Amino acid sequence: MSEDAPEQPTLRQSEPNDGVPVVAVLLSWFVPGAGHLYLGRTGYALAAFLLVEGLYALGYLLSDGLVFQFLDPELRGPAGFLLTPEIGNLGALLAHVQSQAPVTYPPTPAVYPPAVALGGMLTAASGIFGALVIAEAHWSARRTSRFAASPALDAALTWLVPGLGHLRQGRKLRGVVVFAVLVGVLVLGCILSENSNLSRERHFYYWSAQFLIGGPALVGELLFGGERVTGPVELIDIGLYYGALGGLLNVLAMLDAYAWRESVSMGLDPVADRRAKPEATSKQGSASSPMGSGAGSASGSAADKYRVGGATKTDAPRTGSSKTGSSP
Amino acid sequence: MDTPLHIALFLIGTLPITLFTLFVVHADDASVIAEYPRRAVSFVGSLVLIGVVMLLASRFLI
Repeated sequence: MSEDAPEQPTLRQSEPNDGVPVVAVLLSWFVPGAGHLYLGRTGYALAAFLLVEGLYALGYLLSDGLVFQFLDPELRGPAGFLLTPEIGNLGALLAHVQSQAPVTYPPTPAVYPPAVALGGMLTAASGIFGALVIAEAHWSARRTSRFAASPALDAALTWLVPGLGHLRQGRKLRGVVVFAVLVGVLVLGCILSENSNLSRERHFYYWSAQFLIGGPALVGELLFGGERVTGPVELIDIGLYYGALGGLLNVLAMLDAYAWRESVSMGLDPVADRRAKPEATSKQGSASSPMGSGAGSASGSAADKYRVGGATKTDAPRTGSSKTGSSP
Repeated sequence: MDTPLHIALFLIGTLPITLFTLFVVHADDASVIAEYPRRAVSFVGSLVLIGVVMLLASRFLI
């Protein structure tokens, strides 16, 4: 490291190794917060449990647990629930599915409560937050300092408002582009499908993908989701495709925001870290994330040289290497 | 009328797909901008090729 280079962010190393990331992930998947409890973060565990399970319980109550009745009876098998956002809160989802009345033939039509759509949104949001808590648990098990900013928060902000996580990171151009493109794609989908895409009851799986865009989909459904469909919608297929596309692309935006923050929190340059070749990472035996976090550790490679604070550094310390055992 | 509209919607749909996959690959915007045209042309070209093969197969094999 050159003498005139600015100092690397100092990460506190005094804390004991929190735990095994995969164990924290699996615990959090079944019971939100359990992974953090395992890692010794009791306060966070309690808050995560109350938020995620509270959302699910409220959604269940509002919908009388009838959200999955939107599915055709033949799709209500175990695999039918795998592509729902609720999969992020596996424990609650399994309990919910167990509570379902067995399908009778001919199937009995369900009488939905007035707030069934809102209830479905809340259980789905519970699943999204559950997934974010899982990501946070994985990060918590690998972090080198409890003062390092969590990447999961940036991903959560990007889910709530596409591009917001990027803006928080100071990446203004990308944040604005992410927001404009994704909202544009969703609006185009709504126009083409005449807002009929904003209903989980009509398009269960397309809605699940569309829901990944977060805030814009929630607002759109609250404003226009109740509209009646009075005739054939000519371009419904393409409209549904665009709505789902917006949600799926927001997952990429969330990954981008997560990876950037992870690199920064580990004291790495996020641009060079992303460019690191997988083989360079694997040679070091310290793969921490599917998104990278391996740059700077492959001595002699192009990834060794990167810029932090305007100065070129070489062989920068990989501060997170001691806790980067695995990735889900 | 339908065909040009569908082609236009297809092309519009390819643009964000290409852009956001580049966002995952490159953390810096300069690299995204530099690589975007080549990636977009490659993606659209590949899909057109697949479409042509499917059309030919449906015409001659089915």
